[in-house]
Amino acid sequence: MARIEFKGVSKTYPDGTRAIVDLDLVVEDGELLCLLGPSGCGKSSTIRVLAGLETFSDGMILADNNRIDHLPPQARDCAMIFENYALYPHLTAFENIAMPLRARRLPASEIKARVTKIAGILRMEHLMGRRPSRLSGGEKQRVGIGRALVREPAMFLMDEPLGHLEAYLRVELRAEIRKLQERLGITTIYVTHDQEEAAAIADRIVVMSAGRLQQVGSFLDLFDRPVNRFVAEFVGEPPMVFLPVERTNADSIAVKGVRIPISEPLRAALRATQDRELILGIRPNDFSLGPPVRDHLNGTVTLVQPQGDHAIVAVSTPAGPATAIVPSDRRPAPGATVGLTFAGERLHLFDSAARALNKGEGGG
Amino acid sequence: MTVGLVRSKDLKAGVRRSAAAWPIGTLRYLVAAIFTGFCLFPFYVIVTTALKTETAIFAWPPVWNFKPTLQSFYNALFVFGGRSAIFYLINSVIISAVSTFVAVVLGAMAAYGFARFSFAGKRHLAFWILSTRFAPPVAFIVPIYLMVQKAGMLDSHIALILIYTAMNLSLVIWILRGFFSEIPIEIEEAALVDGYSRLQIFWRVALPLVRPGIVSTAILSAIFSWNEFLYAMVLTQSKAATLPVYLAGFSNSMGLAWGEYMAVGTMAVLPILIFTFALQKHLVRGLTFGAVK
Amino acid sequence: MEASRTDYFSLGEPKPDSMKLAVERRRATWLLIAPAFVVLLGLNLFPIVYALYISCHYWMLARPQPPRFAGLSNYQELFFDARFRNSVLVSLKFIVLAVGIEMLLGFGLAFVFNTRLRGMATLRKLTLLPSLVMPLVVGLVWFYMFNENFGIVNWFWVVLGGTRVPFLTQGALALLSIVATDVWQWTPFVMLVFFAALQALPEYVYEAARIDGLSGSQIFFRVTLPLLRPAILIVLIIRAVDALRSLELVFMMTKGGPAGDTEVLPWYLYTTGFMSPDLGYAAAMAVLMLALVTILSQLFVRQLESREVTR
Repeated sequence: MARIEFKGVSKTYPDGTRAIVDLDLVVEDGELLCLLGPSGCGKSSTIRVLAGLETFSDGMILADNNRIDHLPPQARDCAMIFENYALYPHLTAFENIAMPLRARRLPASEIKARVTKIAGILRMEHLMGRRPSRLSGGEKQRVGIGRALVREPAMFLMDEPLGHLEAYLRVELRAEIRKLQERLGITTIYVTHDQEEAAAIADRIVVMSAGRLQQVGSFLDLFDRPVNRFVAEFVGEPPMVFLPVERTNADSIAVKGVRIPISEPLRAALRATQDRELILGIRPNDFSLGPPVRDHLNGTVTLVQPQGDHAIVAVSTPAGPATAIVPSDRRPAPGATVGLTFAGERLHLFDSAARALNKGEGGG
Repeated sequence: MTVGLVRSKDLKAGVRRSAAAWPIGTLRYLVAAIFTGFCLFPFYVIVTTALKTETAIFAWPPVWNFKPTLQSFYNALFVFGGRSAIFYLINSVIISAVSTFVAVVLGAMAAYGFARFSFAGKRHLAFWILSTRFAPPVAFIVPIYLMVQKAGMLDSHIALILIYTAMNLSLVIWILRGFFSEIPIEIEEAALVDGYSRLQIFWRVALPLVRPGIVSTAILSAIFSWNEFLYAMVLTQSKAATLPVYLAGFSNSMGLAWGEYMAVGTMAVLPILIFTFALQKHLVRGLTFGAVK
Repeated sequence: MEASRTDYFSLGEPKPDSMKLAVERRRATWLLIAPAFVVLLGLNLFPIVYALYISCHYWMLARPQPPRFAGLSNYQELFFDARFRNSVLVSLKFIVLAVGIEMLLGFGLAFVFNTRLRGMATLRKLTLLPSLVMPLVVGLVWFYMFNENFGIVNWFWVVLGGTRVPFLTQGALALLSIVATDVWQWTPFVMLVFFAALQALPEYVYEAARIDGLSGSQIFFRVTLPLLRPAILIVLIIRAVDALRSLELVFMMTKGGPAGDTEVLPWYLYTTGFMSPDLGYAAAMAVLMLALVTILSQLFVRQLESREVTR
């Protein structure tokens, strides 16, 4: 229903804090886009600026190629879902959902019909007479969703909508949000700090940090081809392991004197740079642990966390701390000495500016 | 049997515990009861004097057992003096009610502005308004008398209403400002994206949510208007005179009409007794301008 | 940054393109604030300026000749006016005595009431009544109770073995009687403020103090008292200003007598302005009084301001 475009949007608070730095972003019509990042990264500011709840300092925002940043919030036709629900405490669930329609002065009969229909879709007809104080957290947020849905807006803005809910409800409700969004095809921007949630729900994910857009892509893009150390570390659980690297040759590297085999595209990328202060990044599940071997990277197991079918093993190596994921039945004992081997084609290299070395089109 | 034993043991322990607390607990009760009695005793005197016959009022030693009579109330309302107390009562009700209404409406608007908008000089303006709470009527009475006189509004309801509105605005603004800022901002943001304008949000969302604050500030304002003496005394004579003006006339009664004045005093105090219990909860917050909650 | 959101309508510097938004915002702000502002401007700020103007004139009420410019002579006269000096002194005595007793009593009583014992809440609520009663009625009933011939205070005094006392007509006693009346009316208010402040003290502070091994008196002087400091200052200022400006009790009970012993500043001002009636002279007094109240209210404002910052 709307294609949204941020063009060079910046927001600076009077105290000099930069909430958003030169954001260029296109949200395609009907897409569900996640803004992902740690708290304070600017993701909330981005949708609040889009909704018109906050002003910004520079740039412009377009919806279907029309500028909307001069419009008051009520004229931007966006519906918003809040982390703390933001229901009107003095109104019943029915009246809460009806509020946007009352703002548009629709006839009472139509309001009743539309609210009832929404209540049916969300399977909460029996709750319509209750005030928010008599609804559970999950029920409250369904009312919040209902209030957004009832308007059939040009876009949905969701600010950590599931943040206050219990884990099982989060999983249930996010599936529901995704289904509704697909069915209605409304452009949606969904803010979260939870990468699992983002992976489960989003068409595309935007990773933000310190007000800057870091990378846009599907979850697999971010996971397999992070453009910098921030994305590499932020996406993936447990986080990527980083080890300092020595260059032994134009296209070979070593960690603490142990030569690391790398794939051809990475070798090509390596040849293209003069940078000597490189960092090697390895996902914990790209390690395998075996008996210690001479001239290999060996380490001591410091902690073993069984997780069911696999275990997370913390290893202290001469190059630094590392984390590996191993099948439960092959987990070492704490204190054991192990040898680390890693899959050469799945390694990442970062230069001294924390940028990923480009592996070319065929990488990953 | 064992169960019984255990129980009696527990009971004893309980007794011992409270026995250890008894001197302090009882002392607390004693002091609190004496203080409460001290606070309430004059009310007893007002009401009983209003119900006594003239001889009982002037009796020495004071009469504790007497047959109550409504003669004083009757005299004050229908016989006594040039004008019935009902006339003053009605003026008091009109002036308190209207000034409270205006103060709450204007004050709530301003309070919302202070709580939710930022503008240059906001802090200074807010604290200037706060400081008007301390305005001593006796220092303002000279200029205000001349202003009212020049406007030709001596002895008019409207003059007192305006002055009492100004008197109560600082209270209303400061208390409601606190209540408004306690509303989660997201609720108003939700209304904004739901399609309401800022003034609509004030009216339809924020105002209903601070109803407890509105009620208690309204009651406090009404009490302050109701009790005000100096402006009423100087600015009104007959047409718009309020109950305090009537009571001030006591000094002309040569100290004889005790019963009648106590009857009017009872009528002046009664509404407040009723309101006080209604607003209990926010009273201290109101009287200290939210400095103490 | 998810910075402070209280002023959400105007975060960041609006760029030219959102000027329309800024205009709408400003219009809403002024629509909301202007009416109250205008009322206070007209009935608070203007009268102050007007009082300054009047105080510089010979201005007799109800005389045919128009006011005449007098420069600072009204102020000069005040300086040499023994009655004015007396009234300031009486006011000072009244404030120090009444407010002092109220603070001490109220403080102690707050601790008495600060307990979970059954029934205390009801008693506490009852004590609230005096502070809301019409001051004129308070003056009326205490005038009756202090009466020399049939007053109940005298009766109690006689029952306890004394002889009748002319409370309201004998020099220093008259002022003390008015002090007692004010104490009756305002001690509960002071007590309630301290009570609320005590209730607001966080329990964990006491737990920490006990774990740190502080004794009872150490806890009082090192924890409770410093934490109550803001409440003490606030209630002290409110009471001081209110005691300074009230004249109902004097009006009802003594009319400033005997021989000026209870002639507080507001009463002298009122009689000068409306009995003499020398408005210019009264206005000069009013200006001095306003200056004093302004100083006190600024102390209050500072106190609240610092709390706002820490909140």
